[in-house]
Amino acid sequence: MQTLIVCEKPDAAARVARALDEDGDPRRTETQGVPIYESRNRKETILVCSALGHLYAVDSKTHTSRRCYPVWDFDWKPKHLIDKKSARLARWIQVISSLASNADRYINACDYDVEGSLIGYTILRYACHGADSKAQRMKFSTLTEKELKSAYRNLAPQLDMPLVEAGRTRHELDWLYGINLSRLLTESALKQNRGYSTLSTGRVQGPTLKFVVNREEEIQSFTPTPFWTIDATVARDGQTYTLEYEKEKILTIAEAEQVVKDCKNAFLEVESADSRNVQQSPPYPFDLSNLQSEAFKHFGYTPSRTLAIAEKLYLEALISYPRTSSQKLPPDIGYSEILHGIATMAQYRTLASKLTIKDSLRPTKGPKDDPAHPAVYPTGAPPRRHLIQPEANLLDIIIKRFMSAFAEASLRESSQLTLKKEPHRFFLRGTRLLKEGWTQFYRPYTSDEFQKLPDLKVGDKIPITRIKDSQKFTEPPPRYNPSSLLRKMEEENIGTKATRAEIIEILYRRGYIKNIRIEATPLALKIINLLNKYCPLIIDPKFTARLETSMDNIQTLQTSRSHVIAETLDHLRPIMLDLIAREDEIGSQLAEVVVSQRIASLTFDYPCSQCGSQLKIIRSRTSGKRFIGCTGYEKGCRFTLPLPQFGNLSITRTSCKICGFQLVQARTKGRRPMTSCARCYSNKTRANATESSTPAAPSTSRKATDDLVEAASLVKDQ
Amino acid sequence: MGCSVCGQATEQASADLCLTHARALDSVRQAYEAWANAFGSIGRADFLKRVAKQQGTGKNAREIVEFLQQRPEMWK
Ligand SMILES: [Zn+2]
Repeated sequence: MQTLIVCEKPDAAARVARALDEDGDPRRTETQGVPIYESRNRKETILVCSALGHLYAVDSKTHTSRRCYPVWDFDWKPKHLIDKKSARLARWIQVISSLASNADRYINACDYDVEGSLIGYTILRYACHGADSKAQRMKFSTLTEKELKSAYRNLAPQLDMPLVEAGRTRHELDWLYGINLSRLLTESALKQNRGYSTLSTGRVQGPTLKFVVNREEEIQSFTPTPFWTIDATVARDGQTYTLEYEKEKILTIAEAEQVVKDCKNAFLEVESADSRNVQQSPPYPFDLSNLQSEAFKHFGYTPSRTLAIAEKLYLEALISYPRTSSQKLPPDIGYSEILHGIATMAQYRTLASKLTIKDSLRPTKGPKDDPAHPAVYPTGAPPRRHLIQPEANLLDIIIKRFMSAFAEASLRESSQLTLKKEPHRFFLRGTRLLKEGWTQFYRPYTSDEFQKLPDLKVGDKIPITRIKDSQKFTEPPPRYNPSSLLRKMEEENIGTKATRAEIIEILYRRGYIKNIRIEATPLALKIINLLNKYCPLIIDPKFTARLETSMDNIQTLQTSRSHVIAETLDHLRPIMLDLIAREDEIGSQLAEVVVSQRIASLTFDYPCSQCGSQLKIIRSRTSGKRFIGCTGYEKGCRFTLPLPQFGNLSITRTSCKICGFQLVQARTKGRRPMTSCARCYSNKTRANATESSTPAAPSTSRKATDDLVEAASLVKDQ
Repeated sequence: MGCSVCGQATEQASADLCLTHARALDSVRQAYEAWANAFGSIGRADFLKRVAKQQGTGKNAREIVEFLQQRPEMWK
């Protein structure tokens, strides 16, 4: 008997194979560069192979042109036939297909969620000659040997079809919306003959961008108004205390001046002294979005970066599956064993030991649930290699959050003194920790705020030592950052925990949003305004949210894939026909913004230091390399500066602290954006080159000049 | 006829401003009420000068401020 197990990623396949091999040492072979593991036990030989994420994707059934729209017929096809960048996947399908021919039992061991179920299903169905109908499902939340063995002993007899159907529907719907709307935008702009730019929108992308655009419009039409605050202090036993006036904002200058006049050199009388104890329960165990939000708050990692790091920790069996929306830790994960594991790591020994000696371990739990996985938790296994800082940080916060879940509530005393000078009231607030509880496990991610109060009782009088009014102005609403935008998507129920971070990255890559404090670009404002005008439903978050609910209902068998698809087509068809009728109108408006955005995104505000002309980002037609060149090239200026060659480049509004030149930012998926100064970098490399006797790097100046000849024609194109 | 500030198409042919600038004009008008109340009274010209100096004034509001400085009759 030969069993074939399909995993989602090579690292997961290696772990599954190791767990299922009798000696923990499966034979690893490679066919056409595709790794295959052979695990043996007394009864059988198990072949473990892996996908590389999705090997199949949705594409048009009949139309082969990328430019044709509308398209309504679709089919699942090998990804390498659709996307040139996926060429290597052809080998993976070939190898899996040949393994499948000799197997008599098939198991889907991809991650247990909608995507994993779908990845395994498409491979079994299309690459394994229809094996989906007889395949079994292996379900696990961590890649530890113990759990993998147990999952293999307790295989589900068939694939989780409701999850597969929900996944298929999601991909098909997203394809229908994405392809039709994006092609319409791109092509209608292209038909104006003013240059090409890939424009896109989608079922989730549109409404998400609308949140940012709405906020942008609020900020851009904001007009500040004045208000006043009262700054006052009292002193006692040599210490100064800041008073809080009863009104946070005073709206007229007359009132503010009256308060100061009434209270200057006055004595305040203590009217009341209140204190109460506030018990605070431990924070809920981490679901993915909460983990992303804490990682942004404490380490500044974007949601997509946090997910990428968490996946790595999961593949090394250090934490459980991170794409979860659960805030619960069920007993079968083995609390005690995990805590004992944590206690073997020196830095957690003291804290973990406080929990391991407890008679009963009962973790706190949050309201959110996930049918497939528990909350994110550490496996208790110590890392086997040196973790880089971001990995270590994330593991640390996950371990500490896990320990906190078993700790007691903390107790804080919060006190308030009310002081009066008729008709005015001032407050002094104090706080101190009475019982540490869970906070001792979650440091430094919880604040140990402590504020002392002066020793005063009701009826005591104390002089105001200083009082003045200060004029301030209201501020525009805050911009979203990647973390708060992700939270907004979650609140509005658009996208899934697995896709939200990626959608935000796409908005950055498409040039619709920029900076960490997110700004919508003119192109984004234009697209959203156009969609708002011609087909508001497409960017209506409520409509997208309703589709999300429909897809959840497929998982619970309350509706079917065919029903949801039919409903969508009924909705999308008339919208598309209407848009196509106004293509010219839409295109001419889009082309205008595309051109101006392209020029703006390539041009520096800072002029050329040699001739004063504008500096631009230029891509060489021969080498494909990009660099900063001067638009005064035709007049003879040969000034150039080097640029990073990888990542999506944007010119920021921030200037270099050393030389004042505008900084450029390169964004690469799953990494921290790299901001750098081209001028300082150039100076540094030039200095290095003169210091060292051997040429450290090939000089680019000659090459850059060659490239500029073409660059000059590029500039003309624009 | 396009928007008097940016030249873009207006929602209704009779309107002077596009939606974006109409919204900014509303915001500037409302702010004027708040400023006048806060200081007891303030002239429009003085208000516009001071709003223009504020950091928090948005791009569209700023354009309306400049527009009103040039064409005070547009307060309406
Ligand atoms: Zn306008």
